[in-house]
Amino acid sequence: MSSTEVEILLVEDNPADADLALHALRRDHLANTIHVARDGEEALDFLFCRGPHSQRSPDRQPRLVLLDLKLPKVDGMEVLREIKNNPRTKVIPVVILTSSREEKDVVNGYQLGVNAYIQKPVDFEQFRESIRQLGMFWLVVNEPPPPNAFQAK
Amino acid sequence: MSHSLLQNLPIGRKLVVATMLVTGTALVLTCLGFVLFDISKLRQYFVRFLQIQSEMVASNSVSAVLFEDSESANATLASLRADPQITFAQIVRKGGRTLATYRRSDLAESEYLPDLSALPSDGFQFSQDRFSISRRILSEGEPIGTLYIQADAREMYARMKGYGWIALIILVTACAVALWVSMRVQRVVSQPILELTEAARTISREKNYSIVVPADRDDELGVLGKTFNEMLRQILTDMEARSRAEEALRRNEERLNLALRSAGMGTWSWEIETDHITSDEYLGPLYGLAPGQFPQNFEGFARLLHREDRDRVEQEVARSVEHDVEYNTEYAVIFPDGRFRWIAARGKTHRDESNRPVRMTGICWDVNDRKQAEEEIRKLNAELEGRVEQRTAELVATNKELEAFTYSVSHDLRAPLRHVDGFARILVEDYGSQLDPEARRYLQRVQDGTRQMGQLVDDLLDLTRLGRQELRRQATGVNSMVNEVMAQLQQDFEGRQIEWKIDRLPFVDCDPALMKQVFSNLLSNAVKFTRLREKAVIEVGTADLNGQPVVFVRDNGVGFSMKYADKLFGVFQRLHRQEDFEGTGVGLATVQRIIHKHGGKIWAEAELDKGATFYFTLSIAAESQSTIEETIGGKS
Repeated sequence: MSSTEVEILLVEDNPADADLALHALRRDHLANTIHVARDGEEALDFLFCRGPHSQRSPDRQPRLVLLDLKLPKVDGMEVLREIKNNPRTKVIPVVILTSSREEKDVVNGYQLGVNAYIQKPVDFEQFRESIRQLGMFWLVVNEPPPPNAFQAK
Repeated sequence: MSHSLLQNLPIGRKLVVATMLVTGTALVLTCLGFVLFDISKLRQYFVRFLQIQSEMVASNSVSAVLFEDSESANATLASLRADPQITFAQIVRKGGRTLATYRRSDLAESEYLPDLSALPSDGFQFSQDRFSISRRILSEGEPIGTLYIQADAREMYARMKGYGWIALIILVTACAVALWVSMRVQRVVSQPILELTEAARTISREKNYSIVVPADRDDELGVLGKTFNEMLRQILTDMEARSRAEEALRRNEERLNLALRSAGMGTWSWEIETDHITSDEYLGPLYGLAPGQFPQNFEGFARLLHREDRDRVEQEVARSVEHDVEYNTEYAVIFPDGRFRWIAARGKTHRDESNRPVRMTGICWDVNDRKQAEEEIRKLNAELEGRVEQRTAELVATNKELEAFTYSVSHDLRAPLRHVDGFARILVEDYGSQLDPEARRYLQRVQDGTRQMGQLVDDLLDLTRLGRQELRRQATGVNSMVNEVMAQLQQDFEGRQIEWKIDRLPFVDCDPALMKQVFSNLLSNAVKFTRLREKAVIEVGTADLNGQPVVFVRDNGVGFSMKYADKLFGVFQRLHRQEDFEGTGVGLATVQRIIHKHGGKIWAEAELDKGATFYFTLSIAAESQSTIEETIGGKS
């Protein structure tokens, strides 16, 4: 697994949501390698190559992190804070994908440096459309940060 | 001395003395003058008579002297016998020889031997009872001898005495008459004065001011009497007024005392100069002392106070004395048994003409119960505040919980919905061909259900969010809001024939986001409930309700029965079946809450199958007041 490039890190504790997101992403062939982290701690271990992911190279980071906010152990905001506080990871585009429409979450997210905030539409059709669009944008349209951007300065 | 003697005499005596002095003096002077004049006349007459006699005798005796004829000389002298007053006569020749001598027959030879040598020539002399005269006897101008005649003056003196007696009798009689008259006169004058004096004496003795002195005369004494009576009358009036005032004062004092007693007050007075305190019998017990045992100086008073209050009370007393402010304070007093009670004191500084403080007077009363009650209230207040704080904290906590709840509603409730919807859709899309039509229909029901519940969650969240949201008011044009909402609703009425009648609408003072939601709900309702109309008419306008501008949204849709009007704005209250008109029953509740939050009112008028009108009041932004008035005026 460490040899293949992970295109998307999906941080989602709910397996149903994870399934639906994966279904949508794969249906449009937007991403082949998607790693699902089931809680905040696992997401951080993955990104900082700790614990079970200590074999992973910190130079090969995912092109996009899809982050849910309500997570066991370490919540989404904390994960976001750690990512954006660390010079090695702060360039990774992070998109919050959450069911929360709370204004304070939106504000907090942007203040911590999130790259986009998407509220999961209740309607599955709209949800699928959102996923499709954000996959299209971040994986196809957007120019990713070059590898040396991940090195600490 | 006589002046003061006169001054002390009674007025009647004074008048008599004055009259008598004047009358007496006049009479005495008159009599004296009369007598002296008469005496002088008598003497003159007497001298003249003797001179004539001596003249006659001297000329008759010239030849006798010349010839030293003693006989003839004696005969000449003897002619003097005719006058009994002449007692002695003698002719003496020049050289001293006596030529003739006459002597009244009844006289002895030894008697009347006048010292003729003492007589001046041609002169006369009065002695005790005689009158002597000398005359030179001349012959051809040459003195040849001297004639001496001596007369008895006693008769003359007797006549003089007679005059004196007459004068005296006249004097005495006149004086008696004068005395009698003056006494009568003085009675007329002095009687009223004496009466006045007696009246004054009686008044001063008996304090009886109702006496009236007779004053029926027109002279000065009458005036005096009338004035005196008038004065008495005034005094009587004044005294009556004074006695009434005193009575009133006495009653006031009684009332004041009664008030002080019933209020449990004690009074005090402090002479500042001498540092002496006088107090009534009620003051002592207020300080836990026996009646009348209140200290008599400031130091003693200060010792009764609670240590913590002493300095403050002293300062307040000083302030009242120096700056003429009212002394009004409360302090704790230590009783001899160690208890302490709260006393209130109030007082005033009195000053003399030069504004120097002289004394302070005031009252004290017990305010212990009030103080305790105040303390109680203070404690209760503190407790209450504590409770309020606690409640507030609880409320804050509840609010936080509520927030957490709505958060989890928005997050946790929505997620399963999406799953249900998502997997139902995947089933339809990916496995639809393997399912029979009924299974697909059921899947459709599942999807409808999830969509409706999603809407419900959203609406509920909107409603709850309203509760804690602060209004951000600003002047907002209603027309522009309506236009924006219409643009958003566009897709809901595409292909339908709707006539929009949008009036010129005012600017209102509101939170634009919330107000937009009001119009969004009302207009989407209007669009929804006119769905069955071939030509829908939706109107937004303003009207005037008892002088208050209102905005209304009217449609010609299915309307509703007014008997359900009270349910219209309740949460989850619906007047239509779900299959006829979809909805959650939250929209109008949200609208009402927004209007209420803006301080407005909302109500609806409708008729089944004829349409509905929703009215609501809004505060018109100041600058557009004229606009809406114009609009309303134009409509009516």
